[in-house]
Amino acid sequence: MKGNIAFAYKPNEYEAEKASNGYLMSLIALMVGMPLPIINLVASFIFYLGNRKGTYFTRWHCTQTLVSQFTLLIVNSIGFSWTVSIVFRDNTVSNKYIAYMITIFLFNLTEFIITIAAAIKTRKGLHIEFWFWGPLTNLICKK
Amino acid sequence: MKKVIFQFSVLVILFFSAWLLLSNINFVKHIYIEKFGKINEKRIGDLMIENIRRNNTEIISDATKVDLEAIKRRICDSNHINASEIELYLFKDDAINAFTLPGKKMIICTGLIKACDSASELSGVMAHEIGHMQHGHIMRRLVKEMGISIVLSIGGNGNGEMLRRMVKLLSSTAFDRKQESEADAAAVEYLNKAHIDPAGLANLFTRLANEKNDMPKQLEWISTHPNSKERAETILKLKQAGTTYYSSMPNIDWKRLKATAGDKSL
Repeated sequence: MKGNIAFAYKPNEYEAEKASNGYLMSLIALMVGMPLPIINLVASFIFYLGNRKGTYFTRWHCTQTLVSQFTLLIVNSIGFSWTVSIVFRDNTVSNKYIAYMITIFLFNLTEFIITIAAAIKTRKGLHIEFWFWGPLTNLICKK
Repeated sequence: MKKVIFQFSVLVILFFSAWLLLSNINFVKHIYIEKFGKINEKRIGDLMIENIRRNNTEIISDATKVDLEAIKRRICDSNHINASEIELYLFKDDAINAFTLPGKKMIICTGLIKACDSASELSGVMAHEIGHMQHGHIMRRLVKEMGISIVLSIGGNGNGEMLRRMVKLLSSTAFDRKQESEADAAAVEYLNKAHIDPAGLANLFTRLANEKNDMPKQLEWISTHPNSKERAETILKLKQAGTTYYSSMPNIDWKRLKATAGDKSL
């Protein structure tokens, strides 16, 4: 995660609050929606739709939240369906399964921490770019 | 764009490396063996045997024990398995069934011996059950079906109704397909090394599957071992070419064993 990167302009207080709320929304939805992996993506998507016509700073950070949540959705969905197949079908708990669950836990934890950090920084009006999702957002989100 | 692709590749490599590295840790062994070592599988098995004895007649004939023990020893000794850990119990029951309880206790019903045409067929079933034991399927299945808290509580106080449910589960419901395939493959390996023809097990599967419609009630072992015909074919494929097999197994009096089981046809 890269912090304090120069943004195209200095966002005002209102924009900073909106951008920060986008990150907070995904965190709350993640906690409420466990173990269903789609809830946080839906929450981020709704927030994104609500702010897609907002200012560039708000839109940029809502998009970054959305794309990062989408990646989490993919890895979490695989873990979720694997668990369902163990509980309800013929699959058994294997070393690969436990290793996968630990890996996605670490992945989610990292995401959780950087999202909190991003929420705090953006609230102060600072621009934050995540590894991979930041450059991806730069490609998707235009001024 | 290049930056996105590069960072994405790093992320994917990081994810898969972590997964691969963690996969090398034997979590399953740690969870099942360490945990169940503490709750004493043997005690649960002993309680189950007591429970079965209350409703069934156990055959305690030295001659029968000698023959069944000889089969067990032949399979175990050829495969470096500690035979003294495995306990055999023969019960008078027309059900064509054999199953394994926690603590490496194998239950054989007289109906199964009657249904077998040769010692190699019976050896096949015993090798299959030993396969389940060696892969640790029994406790995993109990925990999966009944929950760890129930299994742990049984180890402590021996609740009669729960024990009956567990025995019923282990004797009359199937393992999952993966576990059955593992036990089949293990059985073929054990039999090959013991110079007992695995075709015996395949023949038994095929014959009982064909008879299933005539006597569904007695054929418990086959109903708990589905897809018998396909499995018989797989067993025959796994047979090692060039292995020499006993035409009749030494130290085993098959006629005596059949007679003890109540089969007067020989």
